[in-house]
Amino acid sequence: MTITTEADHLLAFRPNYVVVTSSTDARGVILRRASVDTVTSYNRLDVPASSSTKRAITAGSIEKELHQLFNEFRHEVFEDGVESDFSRRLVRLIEAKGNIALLELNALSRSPNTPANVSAEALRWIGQMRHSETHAYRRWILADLLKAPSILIRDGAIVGLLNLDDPSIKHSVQAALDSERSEQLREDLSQLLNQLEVPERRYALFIEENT
Amino acid sequence: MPYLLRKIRRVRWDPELTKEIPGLAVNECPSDCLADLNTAECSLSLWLINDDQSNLDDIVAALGSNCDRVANVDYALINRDKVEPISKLTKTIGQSPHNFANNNWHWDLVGLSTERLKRLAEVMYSHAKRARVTLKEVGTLVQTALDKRQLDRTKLKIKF
Repeated sequence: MTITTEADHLLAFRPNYVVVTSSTDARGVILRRASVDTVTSYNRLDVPASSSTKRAITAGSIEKELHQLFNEFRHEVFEDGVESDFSRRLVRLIEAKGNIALLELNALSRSPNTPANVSAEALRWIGQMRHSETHAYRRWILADLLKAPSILIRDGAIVGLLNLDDPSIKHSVQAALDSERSEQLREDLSQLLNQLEVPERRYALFIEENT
Repeated sequence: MPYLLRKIRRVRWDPELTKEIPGLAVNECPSDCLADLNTAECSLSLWLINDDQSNLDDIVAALGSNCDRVANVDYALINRDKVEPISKLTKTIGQSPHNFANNNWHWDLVGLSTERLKRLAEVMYSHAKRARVTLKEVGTLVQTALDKRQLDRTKLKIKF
């Protein structure tokens, strides 16, 4: 596939399955994504079959847990490089529940009712964590949220992508740079692009990270 | 003229942010900026940066090594002469793992009232240069400082 537009890029690098999650405002986002992508390969360990009742319960409980986590820390003042109960619990949840937790996080980050400062903090950490099984989803979420309406979330996505350091998202970064309104974030996106142009020499994606 | 450096979260100071906050006028300094100016005993920790910024990497290594994990360091750099009229600057010993930086370049802005802190925030909002050092760059600077034995390993929380 020749990648010529950002849409092509996101299509090419989007993880190859989707999950319909539990019944809140998060659901709409996932359903919309599902409606444009009918790929349903459920052969991954952490993605239950479409007919499974267990899936709805699991996704629902993860959604509830994330909601609770985000609300608990909505007034927290976060600092770069400093761990918090929020970051520790978030990373533990993603390591335990994998891509289902990331899908819920993705939906939550797009909800107007979610505190943007907490979403932004979450994006920093999903960029920094090293967890090959969820790399592709984390990359996709971060790249897609470069277009979020909230400047706090866009900044969180930029920092997350700086931390992730995966050169395959250069096209999305360039597209975000072309449309970014904030002069400061344009500087940050240029910095990100420069970093991705010169990736670490030893950087290579494992197969499971890149699918 | 030397500069004073304060670690911040850069986006809190982005003028575009005011457009997203109902009730905030353009050019008004958002109150979230104060989250980057937390004081103790009415003092604010600052780092002195040479005119030619030759010690900037050392200060970033000091700040970057004073965290739980290697991460980006966002900072605001402001001319010292903009800060001096606000409150008294006193040279003190810093608490980072970088002993040379602690002993030579750490200052406190002391005797701060809420009014003075507000003035500082407004001056920083209008006049400071704000920049970001990425996680990768910070990692390199911290590693270099470690290799040169500039960091006190007993104060390091980051695992290498």
